[in-house]
Amino acid sequence: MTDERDRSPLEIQLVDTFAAHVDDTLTRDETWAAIVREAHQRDRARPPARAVMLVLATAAVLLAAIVVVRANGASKPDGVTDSITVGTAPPETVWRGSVATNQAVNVVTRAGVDLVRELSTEQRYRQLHQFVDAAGVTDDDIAAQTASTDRAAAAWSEAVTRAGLSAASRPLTDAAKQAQNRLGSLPAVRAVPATRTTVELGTTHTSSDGGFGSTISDVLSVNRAAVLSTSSVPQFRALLALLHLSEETVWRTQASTHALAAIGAGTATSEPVVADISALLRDARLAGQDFELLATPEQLAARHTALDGAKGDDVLAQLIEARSIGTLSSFGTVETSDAVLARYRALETQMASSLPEAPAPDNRGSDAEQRALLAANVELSHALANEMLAVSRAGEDLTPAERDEVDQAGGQVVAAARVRDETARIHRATPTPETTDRERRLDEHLVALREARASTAIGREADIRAAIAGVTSIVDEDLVALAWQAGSVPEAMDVLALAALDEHTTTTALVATLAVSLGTDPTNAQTSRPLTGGISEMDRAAQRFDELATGAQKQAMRSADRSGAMADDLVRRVATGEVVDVAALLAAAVERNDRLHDLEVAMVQEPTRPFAASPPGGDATTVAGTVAAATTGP
Amino acid sequence: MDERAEPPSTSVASGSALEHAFRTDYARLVALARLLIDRHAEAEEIVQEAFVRAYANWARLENQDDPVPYLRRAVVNLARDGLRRRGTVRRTRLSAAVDAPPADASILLDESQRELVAALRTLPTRQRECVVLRYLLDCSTAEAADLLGVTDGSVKTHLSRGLAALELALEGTR
Repeated sequence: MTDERDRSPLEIQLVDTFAAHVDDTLTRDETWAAIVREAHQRDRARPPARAVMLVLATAAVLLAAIVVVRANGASKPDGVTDSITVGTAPPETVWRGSVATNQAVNVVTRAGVDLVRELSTEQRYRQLHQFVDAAGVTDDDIAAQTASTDRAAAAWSEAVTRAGLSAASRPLTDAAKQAQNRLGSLPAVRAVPATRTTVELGTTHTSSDGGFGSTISDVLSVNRAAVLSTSSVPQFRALLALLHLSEETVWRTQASTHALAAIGAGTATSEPVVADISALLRDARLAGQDFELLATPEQLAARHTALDGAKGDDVLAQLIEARSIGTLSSFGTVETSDAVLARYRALETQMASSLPEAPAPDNRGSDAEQRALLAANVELSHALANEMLAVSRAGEDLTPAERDEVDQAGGQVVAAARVRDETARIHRATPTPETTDRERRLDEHLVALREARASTAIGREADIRAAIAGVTSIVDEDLVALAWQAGSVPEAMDVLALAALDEHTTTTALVATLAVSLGTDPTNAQTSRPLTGGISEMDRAAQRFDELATGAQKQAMRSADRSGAMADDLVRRVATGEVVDVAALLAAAVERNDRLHDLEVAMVQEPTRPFAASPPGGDATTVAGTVAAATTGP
Repeated sequence: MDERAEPPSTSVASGSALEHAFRTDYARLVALARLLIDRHAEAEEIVQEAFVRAYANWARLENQDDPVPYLRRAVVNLARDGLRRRGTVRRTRLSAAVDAPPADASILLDESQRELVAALRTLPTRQRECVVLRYLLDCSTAEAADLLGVTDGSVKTHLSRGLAALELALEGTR
């Protein structure tokens, strides 16, 4: 221990600063009582020790069956394995879906979407009441909305209880329990005095915002878990679309509410506020893109109509980006914002009411032709990423050797595109308008790529990159479309996870090449929207993969993505305006691209859960982890 | 083995060492979590989770007379899990409100202290842990090493690098 007299000024400052973080008022009797209550609840829920041992033993057997990552042959010096497998579930296990469970999932999801909407509305009312006089939100409005939220909460609780989904999914049960607890503390959240809070971040919130945010977050988690509990592929798709729309609505509500509050507080043009609101709007847009990726044409048309096309895009987004938000009349903006949100909510209600009712479970197993098309898509996107990296490595002035390398990479793309084309033709004997349109767009981008390759103009590299990005986005679209033809929900999830992984893989290659081209130009790198946007999309795709993949797949990705840490670090440093070693960046990106491709191939060759050993979201790894967490120390 | 012979796992009586630890150390542990994760809304949850686990696993705790080291380790581990998860929870992050410091944060901390906390947030996880354990909990190098599961030398290195990085960061703000 350092003697007080020996401490440097910095150390003294650290002690003082840290001491200021100790808030003794937090030590409350009710907190201790809650801790004791929770511990007793868990104790009651915990199986007897012998049963735990049995579960652990079963989990160990399952884990042995689900080989996460195994090395065939010798390991490389850095410990990276030579081949990756994601393993398979025991063939005799069957998918445990039922019509009743599927119907119950609908009921819970609808109630969850309603509850999220009501919570989000109440939070908005409270914030507008505090900061935006022009909004005219009265105490009576808040009281009425509070009652409405409570009704939705009661309906949700009843739906969850009556659905009896505990046998369908443990994650769903756990998430519901957590959300239920959170709802129990809602009165306390509301009781927090609604002081104006303009924190050092510059954002403007009421003191109850955190509580509402956490509650909404927990109910959304239940919705996600519910979606993963269906056994009908069309229902799975419809529920996912509804979930993304619900999330988009929440983000958009948050963004516009914070923007209006910032106008009211006079902080609307400050940098942190703009950054905060832009981030929320970006999340809303990403959720919207997710929706567009998986919605049916009918849902897309309904959305277009409901949101009135371009007018549906919240006007606040443009105001914030133009930094002119503070100059507008709050009143006009509140009306506009309310109108946009009302349209979102109407669409949400419409979609919730049109979910497939009582769908039968899908249990058709895997389709070899479909797997062939998945493989062809994966090979094409890998060849495209390779070409992008090769072009980037060579730069604008090519040596003969570099020219050969680039030509070879381009040739591999042409070959892969041909294989994909033939495979698609076999798979789609009678193409739908959707698939025909997709193939047409793919061809257009491939033509653009051919033209960019042949060009000698300055900017050729950027043109190639843009054309490749166009092709890969359509390949990923095709992968997602193939998920809806899967024979079971677990297989659809596998294909969606593959699509997310492929998007992540190609986007990481794209941002690496962007970073290389900007690496020597720190000022431009710092303000490069394609680079920051690409990083965001890369993270988004990785996150989507995480949400859909099994524990085994996630572990396999982490192992395969080991070189990604270095590439990521370098890319992010470029985005902050730092000059980095571009050769090292490219080398790491190339290795990562190969490793992730290995994993994709493994996922295509060895479907992990055509017939799941346990319900989705509750694979053996999760069960083992949960049991372990409940029975071990910190 | 007869299951009935097993002691109930939640056998902590009121007024026990754990409750005493709650009375004496809860606020400091919340501060520890806050400084490690800089997500104020989660800090209390982390500490409460640590207490729940200690309570639920009381019969298996090595040192029932002094559960504070167990609690500290639990908080550090849970905070670290939170850090790892953060990259993948953007969809559940509803707004900066969830991450926002409490309303009184700006009153409690003066400007130089806020700069120091901001600089602390830029440190790598291990360095941040060492600095916080040392100057918030007054842990010796050996105690910090035991808590983090690393060697004394490693703690010294992280601490020294952390302090140097903080000096550098603060110089830039002055």
